[in-house]
Amino acid sequence: MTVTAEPLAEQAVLLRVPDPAALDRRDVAAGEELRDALLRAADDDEIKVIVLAGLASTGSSPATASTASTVAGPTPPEQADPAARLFYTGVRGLHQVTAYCKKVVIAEADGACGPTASALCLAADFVLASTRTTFASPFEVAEANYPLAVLTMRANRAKAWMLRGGAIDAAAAFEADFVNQVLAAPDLRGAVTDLARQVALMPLDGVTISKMNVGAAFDVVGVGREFDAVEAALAAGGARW
Amino acid sequence: MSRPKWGNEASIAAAPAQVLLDLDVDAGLAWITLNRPEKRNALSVPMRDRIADIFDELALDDRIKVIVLRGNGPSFCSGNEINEDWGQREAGYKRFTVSHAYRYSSELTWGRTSFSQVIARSPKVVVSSVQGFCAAAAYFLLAAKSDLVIVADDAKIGALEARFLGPASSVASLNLNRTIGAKAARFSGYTGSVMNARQAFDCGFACHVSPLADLAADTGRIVREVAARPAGDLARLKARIKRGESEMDNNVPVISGLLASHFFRSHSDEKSFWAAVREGGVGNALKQDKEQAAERGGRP
Repeated sequence: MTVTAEPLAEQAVLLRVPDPAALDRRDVAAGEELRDALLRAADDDEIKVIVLAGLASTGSSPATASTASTVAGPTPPEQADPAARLFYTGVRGLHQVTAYCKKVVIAEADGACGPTASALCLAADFVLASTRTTFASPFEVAEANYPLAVLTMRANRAKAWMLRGGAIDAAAAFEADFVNQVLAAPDLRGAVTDLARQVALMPLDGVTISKMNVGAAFDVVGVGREFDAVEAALAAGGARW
Repeated sequence: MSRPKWGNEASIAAAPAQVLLDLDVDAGLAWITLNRPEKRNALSVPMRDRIADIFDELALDDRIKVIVLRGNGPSFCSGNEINEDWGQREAGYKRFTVSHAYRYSSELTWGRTSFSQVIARSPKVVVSSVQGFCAAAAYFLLAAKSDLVIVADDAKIGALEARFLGPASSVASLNLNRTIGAKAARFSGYTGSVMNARQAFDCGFACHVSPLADLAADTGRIVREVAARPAGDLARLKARIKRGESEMDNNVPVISGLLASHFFRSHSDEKSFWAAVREGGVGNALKQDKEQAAERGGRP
């Protein structure tokens, strides 16, 4: 997998994930590549906005909303290779680097998002999706953060999605506040670009300080503690992550 | 030795018929039915005790994955029974001591070991199936503490007790703020307004709205879907919710408006008390308080 970084607009970069299924396979190299690209962009003073694209498979949608069926998911975290587990759920792993990113992260979703991609959408600041997009339950993977889900979509919606399982479509995700905007597929990139430009108008210091504050607020409400608790449960070898 | 029970002889004796338990072991379901329709299923203290006892039993029953709360009659539940005797020293005794008020409220909402924690911290998936009124304690102690809320299209949900007990605890409940949003929680608590079914769905309180005639069938379908998931998965997911809520301090008990408004002296009494303090000092105020109490039949 080669993640490409393309300029999208002034002070906005687009990172394209070529093989999103690799993330659900818990492929360490693939995740590491994306994480490192994210870190490089976040540490670039010329960048204020990072767009994650290619998170979804653009094949047929795998599941319907409001069913208890689950998308063929990733390896259960407790059975995953320790290195892969640590990379995806750990403090320096892909998900936490996204949630606590120093720059604004926009997730562009166009197609069927697997659990890992849905979890990354949960961690992103914004999610824009095409009408054909579906989101598998992020709670199939350990790094999907429950407090963050509560902050994003409110408690009962998060609980219902977790307990009922299954995928939701873009319209339902929008109603649940999981997604900021739903657009026809041909209009998606344009909307993402417009949003990136809008954010990039903010002063860099303001963007940076706001992200520092977001991270601090996450810690206050338990987002960080949840990440730690999941990692601790998995490190102890338990299935109750 | 069992946990001490509160209530009078009649209310304790009535509770088993007012809170029914049906198990569908094959489906992994436990149905708790509030059965006091003539009072819109208002919860007496013994009814709450029975619900808590049932939850304790079910927590240890590996056959049960999902607990469903529902109500017989036109309404799910109108809240707590507020006209009951609750271990008072004499029947009809309405002016309580602070320790009495603390004891009552800590059993209800304000204690780590209170009724409010029983549902919130259950290891089983808890579902409320709501028709008609879901008011006051039914709103913030039953439905809001459930994992899934399924409502009929005639549902009327809210902190209706705020209208006569003052701003409700729901204003400050982190759980409610995070379930329906901060502004909606304040609106609900400070106005005592009801949410209809559509509003409950739109704000994220309810996960499904059914026509009233379909509520039972839709509830059955949804809970069977959930219970069909592998037991280990459900237990893990529920543990994850509990841990996340703990990390968020979601279920930190809040002081009930009922404590402040129902048991402590009323505003007019308080004004009268402090007016007497200004006129003749604390001694005068206490003397007046005793005189007023004597006029009320000797109650302080």
